[in-house]
Amino acid sequence: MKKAIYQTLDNYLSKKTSRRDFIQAVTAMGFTSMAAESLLASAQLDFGSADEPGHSQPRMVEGSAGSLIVEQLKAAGVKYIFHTNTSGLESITDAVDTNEMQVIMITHEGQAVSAVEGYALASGQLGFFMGSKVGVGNSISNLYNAWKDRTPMIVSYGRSTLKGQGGQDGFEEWDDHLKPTEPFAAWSWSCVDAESMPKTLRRAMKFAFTPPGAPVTLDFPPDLLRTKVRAPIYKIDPSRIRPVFRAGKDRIEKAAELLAQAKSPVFIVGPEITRGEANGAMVALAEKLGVPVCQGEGLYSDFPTHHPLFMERYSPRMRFPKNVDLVINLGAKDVAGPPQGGRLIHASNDADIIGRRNPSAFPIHAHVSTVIADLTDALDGILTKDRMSRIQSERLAQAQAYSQKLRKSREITLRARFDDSPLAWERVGYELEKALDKNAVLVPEIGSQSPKVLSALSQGKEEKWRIGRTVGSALGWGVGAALGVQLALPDRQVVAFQGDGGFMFGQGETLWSIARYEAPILIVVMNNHSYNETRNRNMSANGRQFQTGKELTSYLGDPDIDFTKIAEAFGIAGQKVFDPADLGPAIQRALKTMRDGKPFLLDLEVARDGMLSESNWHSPFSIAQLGRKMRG
Amino acid sequence: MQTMGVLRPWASFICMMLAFLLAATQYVGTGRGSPGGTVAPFAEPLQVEEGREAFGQACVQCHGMGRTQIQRKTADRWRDTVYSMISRGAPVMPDEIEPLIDYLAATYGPGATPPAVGGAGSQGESALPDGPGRAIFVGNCAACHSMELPLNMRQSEAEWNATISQMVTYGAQITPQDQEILVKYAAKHFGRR
Repeated sequence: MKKAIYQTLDNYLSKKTSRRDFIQAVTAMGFTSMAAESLLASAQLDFGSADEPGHSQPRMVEGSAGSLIVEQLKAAGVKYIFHTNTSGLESITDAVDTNEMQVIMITHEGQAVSAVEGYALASGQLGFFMGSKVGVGNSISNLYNAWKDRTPMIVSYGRSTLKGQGGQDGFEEWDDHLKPTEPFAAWSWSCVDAESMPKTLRRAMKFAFTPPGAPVTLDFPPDLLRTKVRAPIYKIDPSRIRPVFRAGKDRIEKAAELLAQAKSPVFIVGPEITRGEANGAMVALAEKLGVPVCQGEGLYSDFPTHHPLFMERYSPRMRFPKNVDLVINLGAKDVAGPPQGGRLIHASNDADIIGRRNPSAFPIHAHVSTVIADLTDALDGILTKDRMSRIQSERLAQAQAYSQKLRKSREITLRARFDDSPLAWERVGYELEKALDKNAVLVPEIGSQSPKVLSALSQGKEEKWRIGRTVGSALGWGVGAALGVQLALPDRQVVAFQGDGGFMFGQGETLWSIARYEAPILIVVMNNHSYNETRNRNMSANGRQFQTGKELTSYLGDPDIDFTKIAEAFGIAGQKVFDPADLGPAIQRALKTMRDGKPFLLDLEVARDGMLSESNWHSPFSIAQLGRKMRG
Repeated sequence: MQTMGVLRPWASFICMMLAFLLAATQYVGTGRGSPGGTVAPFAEPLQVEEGREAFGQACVQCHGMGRTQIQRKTADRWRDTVYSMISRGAPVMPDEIEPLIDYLAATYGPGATPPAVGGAGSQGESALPDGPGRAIFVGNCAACHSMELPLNMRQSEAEWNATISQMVTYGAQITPQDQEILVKYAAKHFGRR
C-alpha cells in the first residue's frame, strides 16, 4: 500500500492527476478523507512551483546543477555529506564551502549508509549520502536496515553520462542500477534533467519523510551535474514536512472505553513514540491507569527501562500481568496478539504494519503522539480522578512488587558471576552503569546476549538513550551508525557495543573515519569468539552438529583476534581486558581519553553462553596442506 | 484447588520419571556437555516440583521446551544457564532459582533419558482411540510426554481444558481451534466415568 501512496503522491506532484483524483485515490485505499487532506496539505508544501501559496519565496540561484544540489541541501539544513570514494560527483564537492558544510569520508558504501542512518536516527534530520554507482551493491545491506527501521534519508549515486554512454555494458556501467535499491526505498529516481535537480531533491525529501518514513535513492549523471542552470532554491525543514494524521474522535473514544473497562491491559511501545517526541506523554498515560508497558521492536528505548511499569518484552503468556485482556500497541510493528479472548488495538502512522500479524486488530491509523494525547484526554472524560487513582495505585503496587523480585533475581545473578573470567556480561553492564554519563548514548549491535549487559543500564529518552540495534539485524551496522550518532550529538558520550562477529562484518575500516574526524566514541567489543546467537539457534534444531559436538559455522577464536591491534593501526588507543579487576580502571582510562577528544576501543573477553558454548572445536582444514597434497 | 487437582497426575508422573532418571544417572556415563561437572545431588521431590512449575511459568513462554529437552547438563551448568536466562529477562523469582536448577538437573542431567518415553510410535499410540483430536494429540502432546499418560487420566471437559491450557503455557504449540477439538476428544475418551 505504501508504494501505491507514494505513486499517487508522485502523480499529483508531477501534475499527472488533479487534487480531486488524488483525494479519491487515497480514500479508495481505505484512508479517511481527513487523512487524505492531511497528506495533500503536506504534499502542497512540495515547493515545486513558485506560485504555490503557503511557503516562503524561493531564492533564484545560478550555477552548475551540482552546485544547486549543494545549495538546496544547505537550505534544507543539511550540514554533512556522507561520501564514499567515487569520480563523477566532483561538481557537487566543488561547491562545498567547508565553513558551512562538511564532507564526511567513509571508506565503504555500506558503512557510509549506516553512518547516515545513525545520524538521522539521533538527529531526526535528513541524512544525505553520495557514492559510486558500482557501490550500489555494497550499500544495499544497510539500506535494507534503514528501510526496516523506516528511517528518512537520501542515498544517491553517480552514474554514466547521459551522452555517449548508457546501455553499452561499458566502463563501470550496468543497466537499471537503482533497481536493486527499489525494495528498500520509498522512491527511486534517475535524474535526466539538470534544471529540475533541486526540485527532484526536494521531492526526494518529501518522499523520505512521508509517514512512516523510508530511504530514497537517486542518481546523478555527471554531465548533467556540470551543466549550468538557473533554478529556485527553497528554505525548508524536511523533518517538519511530515504530515500528521489524527484519528477520528469515535476511534479514540472506543479505544478509551476499552482501556477503561479492561481488567488487565498492556501497552506495547515502538519507535514512533520517540520519533514523535511523545516519550513523556507515554509515561503519563501509562501511569494514569498503572498500565504495564512492554517494548516493541528495539530501535530506541521508548519507555524508561527502570520505571516500575516497564515489563520488557511482550508475550501472550507473560508472567505479569496475568490474563491480559487488552493489548494496545502504540507505534510498534505488529507482534504476537493478545491471549485467547483478549483484544488488540494497534495505532500507527504506518498503514502497512497495522494488524499485519493480527488482522482482527482494532486499527487506528494516526500519528501516535496524537493518539497518546487524545487517549489521555478521553480517559479523563470517562473516569473520575478517584476511580483512576484507585486503579492506578492497585496496579502500580503489583507491578512494583513484581519488578522488585525480578531485580532481586538479577542481583543474585550478578553477585554469583561478579568475579568470573572470562568477564560476565552482567559485570560489564554494572561497571558501565556506574561510570557513564547519565545521558550517554548507547549504540548496540550485539545479539541475544545483549539484555545481559543493557538491562543494567538505565535507559530512556531522558536517560541513557539507546539507538539500535537496527530492526533489520543485518550485521555490519553498528560502528558506522555510532559515528553518525556522535556527529549528530557531539556533546554526549557515545558507546558502540559490538560483538566480535559483528565488528568483523566489514566495520574495521570505519575506524579510519572515526580517527580522522576525532569522534570520541567508546567502542566496546564484547569478544566471545563466536557467533553466539546463531550457534544457539542452529544447535536448537538438534541436528548432526549438535549431536556430535562438531559445529562448523560459529567459532571465531582461531585465529584469536586482538581488536586493540586493529584500533592501533588507525591510531586509536585501546585495552584488552580478561581480569574483572581490570575492568573498572580500563573504563576510566577510556572515559579520560574520550574527554580528551579521542576514541577508545575496549576489547573485553566475555563469556559465551547457550548450546555448545563450551566447544572450541573447528574443522582443521588447511589450504596450504591441500596445496602440499596436490603437489605430492 | 482445582488447579492442584488437575496437576496431581502430572506431579505423580514427574516424580515417577524423576526416580527413574535419578537412578539412571548413577549408572549411565555423563553426556556430552558435562566435562568435569558435578552430578546433580538428590533433590527433594517437592523442590523439583516447584522447579517444574517455575519452568512452566518463566521459561517455556519464550522458547518452548524443545531446546531444553535435547540438552544434558550438570547442575553447575544448568545453574549457569538459569543465571544467563535471568539476565536475558526470564521472569524467574528469587525463591525459584534453586528449585529450577534442581528440576533441570534432575530431569535433564547427564545421561538422563528424555521424559518423552513412549512418545509417538510407541505402544501407547496404538491404544489411542480414533477421533478428530487423535492426530493433534500425536502431533503435539507426544512431543513432550508419554502417550500412556492420558490413558491413565479421567477428567471432565473443563478439567481437560484447564490441563491443555496449562500445557500451552508450558510451550505446547496448539492453536485455539485445535485446543477445542483436543479437549472434546480427551473428554469423550478419557472423561470421568
